[in-house]
Amino acid sequence: MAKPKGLIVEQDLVAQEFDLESITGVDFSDEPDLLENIGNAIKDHITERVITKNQGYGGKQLRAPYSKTYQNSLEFDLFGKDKDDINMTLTGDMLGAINIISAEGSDLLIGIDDQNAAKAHGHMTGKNGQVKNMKREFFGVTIDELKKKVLSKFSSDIKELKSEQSKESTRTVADFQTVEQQINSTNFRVVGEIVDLGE
Amino acid sequence: MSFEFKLKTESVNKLHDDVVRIFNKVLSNEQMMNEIGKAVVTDIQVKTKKGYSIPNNSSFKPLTRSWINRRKKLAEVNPVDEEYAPSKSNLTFTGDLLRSIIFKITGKGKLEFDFKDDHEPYMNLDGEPLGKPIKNKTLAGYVAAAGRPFFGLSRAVQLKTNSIVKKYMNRALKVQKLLKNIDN
Repeated sequence: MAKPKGLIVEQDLVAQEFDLESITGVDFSDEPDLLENIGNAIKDHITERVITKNQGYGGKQLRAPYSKTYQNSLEFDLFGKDKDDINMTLTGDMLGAINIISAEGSDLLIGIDDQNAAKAHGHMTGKNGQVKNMKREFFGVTIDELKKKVLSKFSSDIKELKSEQSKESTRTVADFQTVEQQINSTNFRVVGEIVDLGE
Repeated sequence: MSFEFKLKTESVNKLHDDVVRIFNKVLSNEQMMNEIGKAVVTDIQVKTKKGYSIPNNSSFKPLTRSWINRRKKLAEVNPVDEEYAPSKSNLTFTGDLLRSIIFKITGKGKLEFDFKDDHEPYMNLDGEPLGKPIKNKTLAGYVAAAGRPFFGLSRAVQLKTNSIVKKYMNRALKVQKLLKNIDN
């Protein structure tokens, strides 16, 4: 499966950039709350998908089971982990670190940008290919997933916004027509004369 | 029959010139520069309070046992920040150091980050100051030299900065489009 668009996998940042204007055709710059709600929904979708379905981006099943070494570790025991439940959760810190890093205009940046990024990077890349069994691409969403699982929940808001924005552009044209009509109308001339007299 | 698509270079150049002109105009926008400055300061403050060193891309080295015990005692008589915890290595006790980070616009598209004021000494259990005030800038140098550097631009905030500029560019382009519509 191809990597989702906008996915960044680096040691200090595991995140995904979304330009919602290019995806939905709607400008969110006057709707920061809506943008943030969508950001939270993306975040929740990723976390829930990993925890309840053990799936990475695009619904790809995460590699199971956990390695023998990990299964035999003290922490595995201590945190009561199940070898077949690949939920990327030991303490919960890594998934808990997924946050809305930036919400500006119609752009969202969601991901992990603190000390948990290195851990997430290790899972996403299998420690840069050194530990292939560890590679579990748990973070990110495909565009298809984003549309079906996240944006669908906001379809009425987006539709409304789209309609408002198209009205705005027609209103501009309509406004010009009105101005033109006013210019050509007698009333306007009368007003003009009054103003002149006033001076 | 064949078609050949040719790019009208003059219109591309015009577009390029327009974008450059708007970009230069946007860089002079004080509101935008303030937004960027605040984003960078907040990023440093939030990440540091989480115990994350931006320059090192790792958690800060842990506090020593003796310092943890001392912090517990000092916290009884000094006002502590809400992100303070005795054993949490996050450069936060009173929170004054991180609060002292400031920025100023030094030119078109230029920001400078610095520290303001002095760092007041902590009080001992008798309510007396432990030492003398030192400049927050000096203190920042000390903590960095002691292995806890925290001042820097994270990759995340750089991307946020790009989005802020893009937001203002889009606004400017929309205004220009509107003006063009009016002209027409």
